[in-house]
Parts: sequence; structure tokens; C-alpha cells
Amino acid sequence: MKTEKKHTHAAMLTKDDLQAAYRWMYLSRRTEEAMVELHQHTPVTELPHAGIGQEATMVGSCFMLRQSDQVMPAHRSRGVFLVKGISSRHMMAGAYGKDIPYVRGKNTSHHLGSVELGVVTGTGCIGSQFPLAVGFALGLKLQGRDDVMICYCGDGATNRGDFHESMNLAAINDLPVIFLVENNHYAISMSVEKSMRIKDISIRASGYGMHGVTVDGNDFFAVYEATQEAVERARKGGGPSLVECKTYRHKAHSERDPRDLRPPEEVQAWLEKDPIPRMRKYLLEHGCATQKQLDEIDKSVVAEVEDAVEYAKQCPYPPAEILTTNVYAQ
Amino acid sequence: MRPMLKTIRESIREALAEEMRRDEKVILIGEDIGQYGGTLQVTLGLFEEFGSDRVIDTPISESSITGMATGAAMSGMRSVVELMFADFVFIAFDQIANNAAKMCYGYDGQLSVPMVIRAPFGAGTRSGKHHCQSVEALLGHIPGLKVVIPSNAYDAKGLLKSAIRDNNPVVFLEHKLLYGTRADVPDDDYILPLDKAKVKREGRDVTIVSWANMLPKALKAAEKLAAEGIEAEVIDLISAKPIDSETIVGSVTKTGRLLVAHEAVLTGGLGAEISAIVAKEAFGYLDAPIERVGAPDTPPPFSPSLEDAFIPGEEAILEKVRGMF
Repeated sequence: MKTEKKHTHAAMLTKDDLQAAYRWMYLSRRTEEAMVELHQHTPVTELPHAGIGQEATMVGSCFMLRQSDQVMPAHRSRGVFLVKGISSRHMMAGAYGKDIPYVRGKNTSHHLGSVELGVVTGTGCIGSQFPLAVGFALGLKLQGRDDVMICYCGDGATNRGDFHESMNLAAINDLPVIFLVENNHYAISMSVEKSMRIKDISIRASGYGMHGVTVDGNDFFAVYEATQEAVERARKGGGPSLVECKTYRHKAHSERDPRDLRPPEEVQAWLEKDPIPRMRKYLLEHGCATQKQLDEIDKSVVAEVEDAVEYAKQCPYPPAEILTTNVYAQ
Repeated sequence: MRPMLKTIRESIREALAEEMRRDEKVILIGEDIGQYGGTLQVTLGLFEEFGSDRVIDTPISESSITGMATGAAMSGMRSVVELMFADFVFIAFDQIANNAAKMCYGYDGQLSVPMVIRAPFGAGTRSGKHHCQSVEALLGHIPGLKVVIPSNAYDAKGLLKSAIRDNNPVVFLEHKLLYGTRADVPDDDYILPLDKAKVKREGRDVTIVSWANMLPKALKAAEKLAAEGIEAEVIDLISAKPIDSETIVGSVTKTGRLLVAHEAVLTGGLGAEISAIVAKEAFGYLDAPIERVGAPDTPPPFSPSLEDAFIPGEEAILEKVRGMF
């Protein structure tokens, strides 16, 4: 892991930037906690696959993107949707299958796409997203745009053939795409130790002549630094990168897991590496925020999520008449 | 302009070149489609005119190049991907069925996927089970896709140009044995509707619906039947999805008999779908049970003697039609 590296990009972040980043992290956390809590009582339509614990990776990787940059979040990347501009109201109502913009209940909230916000739809077929991201990046390049595409995935998806085909296609065409691996060490029950013979997924990049790096995914600054480097490279025509962020999900795979096979002591060790208290501590110790400021942020996030839940409950379901619309474009 | 005799291979190449000149968003993606000209030589010369940014040679990665074409289309390009053989559709099936076809719906129309998947298909080349299949029914089953099959050079040009301008993923199936067949193809710009069947021969006694390389066999059979006093109406299906029910049902209400003849294997072939449509819409007009001709339910075999037995011929059509009277 290259956490000791000097953070040249992160050094340029202002106090306001850092407080905003912290807020996104906590908003992602609270939004998902609320979904999980609601699901336990009155099931949310969409089965929650919480990314709780992975907020530093989610927010650090897309925090400073332009609106015209593109992200393709993975199924657990709730924070990425939020940072890119999908509101907590729409995230929450979308999870209920309510009539929200962009998808109108035709797609789950964790795979939704928004053209105006630069969010490209993901997939329920884990690993099928890579070729789309590469193709989108091809379009960005051919249209002469200097925008980039960040394609998110978990460790499990990197075992799909499409991951390898896509990295190769991105590399030989010098495409502005970043493969952002949220390595939370498990694909449902399959650990990375069992699913691959390598320690760092980032070395897979070298097989395709691509830049690859592994960072501490619970360190906002390490993630930010590595992603910014990759984004800068992509913008300048330097081609694709693989950024592996080692992190951990606090929850089981989903809220319907029959069992969680992860050793309790392993889970406990990672709970102690929770990225949110870590970020708070950093901000306080480095004079980037006062206790009062952070408490106020927390309070505003809690209120925002309460509002999102209310909105979701009152939002109508889409009318059945739209079932057959937009199967084809005009 | 004066029409000229051109092959399907030439007319497809012409359609691609014209659309690429007309719209710089049109790009080609595929294996060996650059200077090599495509394994079946359809794209020959396009690399020289349009360069490597627009005629993109790819490694052997059918799944990801199809997905890449989809992603490029989502970003605002118009992609035309060539799969070397339609059998490779199965390698790319996830990208076609789960991504390209579902994108417009999943986005509720915020974006579309203007993309064409060109794929040579069909038996008769002595190439066996992975180079000779007919896959139109499998693709036609997927909401969000259009599936088009030209049977002659004139149609091929007009249909492909329409397919490229269409805002949906269109699978364009080209029968390999028809590539060298010629027709009058004007140099002009013209487009043809993607969803219309064509009556190729009028008749009052029986309707034969066919497409691709079965169509010439159906037309020959119709000539022989005419000598026997049976006037067959022969329809070129052209669009495997959507099926032009109006033209087919209209014909059967006149003739009272239907035979669907395709090269694909019989079980689950489009003959079943067309039969179901006619059985419902023209039930009262039918004078005989609907008949189907298709390949036996086997993989395409390699040996000439086996492949000749596999591919349905003119005789099978004649036999079925005679049995209706």
C-alpha cells in the first residue's frame, strides 16, 4: 500500500472542501443506515446492499469530478450517486421503486443512470459494466472531450472476463477510463484469498500495460490522491488506470444474507478502521474543522435523511400506464 | 442515377461508407475490419478512407467490443459493430440482451443506443456448428432489439442505412451465401423501412413466408407450383423483430394457406411465432393447417453430405405446399 506517499493533490483541498467531503461521507452512511433500518421493519422494495464502511473510497474517488465527467457506480457505491448529484430524496424514493426522475421505477436506484448528472447506469450482472464504461470513454475521446469515466466495481467483478477484455481495449486505445476497484475483500461469501492467487488486484493492470495502484481505501486522502492522479493522466490522453482501494463492508452482502461467513474478529478489526471517525479525527487534529462544525454537519445530515425518508414514503409509485413506454427510442 | 448491378457485399460497404460520410458520429468496431477488410471482405477500403479512429480494429473480445459499441452509442456516437459470425452473438449475448437492449428502458428514454450489430449467418459454407447457425429467433425474443435480415443487394443498402440512422440497437443479419448475389443498386441515397415485409410474388392459393437464403428457394418452388396450377404468394419477411403481421395476415386472408420456410432449426424458430399470429388473426380464413419448414433440431454439421441434409431445400417447400391441397 502506498499510503505514505505525499499528497500533492490533497494538499490543495481547502477546509471547505474537506468539510464537504466529510458531509458526503456521512450522508452516504446515514442514507444507507436508514435504508437498512427501514428494510428491517417495512421492507424497502430494493434489497439494500449497503456500502457502509466504504465511504472514503466512494467519496474520495469522485469528490472533485466535473459535472461533465462520467461515473458508473457499482451496486454498493451509494456515495458516488450522492456526490454526483442524485439527491438523497431520489436515492431513497428510488429504492422504494417510487416515481423518481431518471428511471421512473423502471430501474433500481443503485443502477440508475442520469444523463444530465453524468451518472451512467450500472448492471445487475456483476462485471458486465466494464465494456460500457470503455465504450463511453471511447465516445468521450472521439468527441474531443477531456472528460473522464470512472467505472466502479468490487473485487469479485475483477474475476469476470469482461474486466480483462475491457482493460485491454481501454489500454490499446488509450481511453480516459479509470477502473476503480472497491476491494472489500468479499464477493458475497467468496474471499479474495480464495478467489485469486494475487495479493493486490492492481497488478492485473500490468498485464495490459496499464497503470495500477493499490491504496488504503479507508483513507480519504490516499483514495483522493490516487484517483486524482489517474484522472489527470486520463484527461491528458495518458490512457486508463486501475485504482484499487482496500476497504471493508460493515454489513453482510445484503439485507437478505442467510449467513455471514466473515470471521467476527476480522469484522471487528475493520470496524475499528471505520473511515468516518478517521476523517473526523483528521479534520479536528489538522484544524480543518471544529467539533461544533462537525456536529452541525452531522445534525444537518440526520435531518436531510429524515426528510428523504418522508419524501420517499409520500412519493407516488409510477403509474402502470408507463410499463410499455420507452422500450424503444423514437 | 442509373441503377447498377452490385453484390450484397458491395451494397453493404456502400451503405457504410455513405453513412460515415454523412455523419461523423458513425464508427465501425470489429475484428480484422481495418486494412484486412473484414474476414468476409465487407469493410474493404473503409479503413483507408476513414482512418483508424472510425474503423476500429479490435482484439478477439466479442463480449467487450459489443459492450464497447453500446457504451460509445450511449455517449453520443453511432456504432456499427461487426461480429465475424452470427454464432459469436452467443459470446456477446450478455452485452446485447442485458445491456444494449435494456438501456433505453432502464433510462426511461433519457438516452438511446443507436447501434447496429452486423453478423454474417447461415449454413452452406461447410464450416460446421460454430460458423453456420441462424440466430434470428433468439434475438427476436428480446424486447428492445430490432432484427433485420436482407435478402438482396437493393434491400441491404436501404435497410442498413435505416438501421444506422435508427436510435435503437438493430441486429443486421447477413446470409453468407448471399454476399455475392447481385441486384440493381442505385448510387443514390435511399432508405427502406425496417419493419415492413415485402410481397415478392403475388398468388391466390398459398402464402409462403420466407427470408434470407430460403427466399430464392421459395421463389423457385413457386414457379414449379404454378406449373402445377398452384399460385403461391411469396413474402420476404425482412424484419424478424418486429414481425410485419399486417402484410402476412393480409396475404393469408386472401390465400387461406400459410407455409413458413426458414433455415433455422424448427423448434422455437420464427415459424412458430408467425404461425401463432396467423392462427389468431386469420383463423377463419384458413383452409388447411399451417405448415412450417425448418432445419432438423441438430447443430449445423460439417460434412457436405450431412450439411446438405441439414439445410432445408426447395423440395421440402414443394412437399409441404402440395400436402396442403
